[in-house]
Amino acid sequence: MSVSVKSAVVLASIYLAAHATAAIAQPPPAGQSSPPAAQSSQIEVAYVQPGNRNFQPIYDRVKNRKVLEELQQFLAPLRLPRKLTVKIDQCGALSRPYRPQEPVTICYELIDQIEKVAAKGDPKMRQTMIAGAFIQVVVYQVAHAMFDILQVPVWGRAGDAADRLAALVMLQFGEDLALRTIRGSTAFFLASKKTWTGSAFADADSPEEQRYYNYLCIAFGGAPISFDFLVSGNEPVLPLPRARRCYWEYQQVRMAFNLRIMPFVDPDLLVKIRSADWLLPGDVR
Amino acid sequence: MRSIARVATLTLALGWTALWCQPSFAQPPSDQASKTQFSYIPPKSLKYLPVFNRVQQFKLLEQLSEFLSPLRLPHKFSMVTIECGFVNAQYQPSKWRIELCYEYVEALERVAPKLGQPSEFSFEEVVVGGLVGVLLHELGHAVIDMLTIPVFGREEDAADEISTFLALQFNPEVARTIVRGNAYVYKVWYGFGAPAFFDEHGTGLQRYYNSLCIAHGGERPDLFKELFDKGELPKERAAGCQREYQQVRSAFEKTILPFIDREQMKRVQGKEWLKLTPQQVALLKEQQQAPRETFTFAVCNQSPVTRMSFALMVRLVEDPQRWQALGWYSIPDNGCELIGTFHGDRIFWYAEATRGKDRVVWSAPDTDQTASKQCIHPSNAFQLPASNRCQSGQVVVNFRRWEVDPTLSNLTLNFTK
Repeated sequence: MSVSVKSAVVLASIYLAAHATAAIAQPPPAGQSSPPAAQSSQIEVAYVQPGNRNFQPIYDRVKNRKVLEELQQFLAPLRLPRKLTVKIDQCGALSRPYRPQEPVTICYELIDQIEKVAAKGDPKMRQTMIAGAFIQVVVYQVAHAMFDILQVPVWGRAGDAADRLAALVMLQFGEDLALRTIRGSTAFFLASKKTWTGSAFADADSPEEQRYYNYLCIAFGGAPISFDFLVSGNEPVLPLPRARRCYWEYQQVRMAFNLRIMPFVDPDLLVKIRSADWLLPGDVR
Repeated sequence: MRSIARVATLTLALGWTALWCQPSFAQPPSDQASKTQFSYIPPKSLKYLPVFNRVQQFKLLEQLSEFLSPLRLPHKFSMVTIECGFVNAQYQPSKWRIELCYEYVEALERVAPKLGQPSEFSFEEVVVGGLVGVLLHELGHAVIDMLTIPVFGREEDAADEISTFLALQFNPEVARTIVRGNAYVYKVWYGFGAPAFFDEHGTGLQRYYNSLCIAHGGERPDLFKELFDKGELPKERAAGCQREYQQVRSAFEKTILPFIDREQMKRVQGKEWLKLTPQQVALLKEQQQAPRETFTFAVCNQSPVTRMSFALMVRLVEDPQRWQALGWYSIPDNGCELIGTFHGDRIFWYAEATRGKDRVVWSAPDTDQTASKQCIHPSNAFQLPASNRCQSGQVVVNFRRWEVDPTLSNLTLNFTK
């Protein structure tokens, strides 16, 4: 299991809490441990003041909630050969692709876009979409950085590789979180889909609808009971010809992760991270 | 999809083996240590006998086995041509075997450029290059499986990358044939029809641009100058292709290269590949000229409507130069009617039926620019030259256009609603 995912999940839970109409900090119930205080010394974080004042509220929220500091905690078990900076910044675009030796950047523009798309959809799904899409973006970008820093051989398109790793990680936090993050992120993909024709298919990024199915497939492959609703009914959400191969797709990514990324994880610290209860209801820091 | 095509003969022709011998695996003679075996398995269906004979004449499996001789695999691995019952080529992990279906050979021949058809691709490079490219794609699946290669991206894209990357390691002529053959297959064949985003494969056009990008980002982008000068690869994608190529190259060096005998690889790279003898060129030309443009067409009514009458505008096999409007064909309620065999790559159709007391019509909207307005007789049987200048008693209706999948020889139009 990747710590980067846990960090992203906590990140999203805090962010989600920031949008709640009422958020009350509560101590963890007796008998459950708080997350360890150790932070990754290899991860540096930054909140860059946006030049666009429309993004100021987002900046204030994420900074006050210390979402990136939480990320540092979750990435603590990672043993990286060099430092990595993760920042939230104004990009001039929805995303800033990760490049070797550069920071991981989460763009205010994308956070803003997620909120806008979520606001247009089913109100019941709003928080789930915001949380899921935010987690997906963070884990996806960190995945790109991991491939680079750890010199991981990447077969297939790089964006799909980061997606599949992100989906794998999302499944490691129990059924509830897996369902929320997968549902939320895939709902955002579907709500964002465009019409693709001709030379649009030259894009290095995959179509939103294709990414939607990729995430669903990994989810169903890794947790077929939790996600059995994807294959039920006369017109299943995940078409059966694809669904039949999803177990193998999940196992493939899992094997790749165990072979190329787990060697860089401190197993003892990972156990501590995993044994902590990171996502208690109303847990706001 | 994976495809099989006619195999081109290679200059390193080996001894001829009997066509009718029982399937048995052969070893490439030049490398006794190779674990690659191959066999041409006789088909069960008589109709595939000619294909079976043809693929042996081109000795692709023999040559591919030799090409793979530098690969140090952990166990025996085989390649076969076989009748499958469907159009495909696949790697079977349970058998450590690549299977090239005869059905696919025929499908690829159908989709390759026709004689006299203007195309920047030749029949030879599509058939030869497409075949080798697909075999290398299946080889990609095979090595991923047999060498337990970690794959984070989608495996189908990984197999495409292996195919293109290996193609680029050959001499320029061979690299061009394989990459261009693959390009045609991706764009024209796999790119046909609506994209299926749920599929584990990328869309045909995605695969097309992926392969062009690797070719562009490699050491010899000049080999495909004609494609890039035409703007086939958008600049936004091209800008990142060197990085994409390096990603593939790095993955290859880390996961596959350790299993390759470098000295044997140099010997293999130094040989000439995919050179056709005059006899094989003649055989290819013969196939290019074979009639491939006909299809059998049927209509089924499995909808609530009744008393369906169907009309179409097609080119008859006996008169392929002219479009003719034909009607009426009565389609049985909850049944099918075989309309006939026709020529070409598209048809136009129109239908009427009854739903309760109402009359239902299937015609193209006026805004449909692909449609065709044609004269028909509303109540009597007709066979008319295509025209929208009607004579007395005739009316104009707007026929819908339907593009025929070039790989299919039997088509059925189903009414289900």
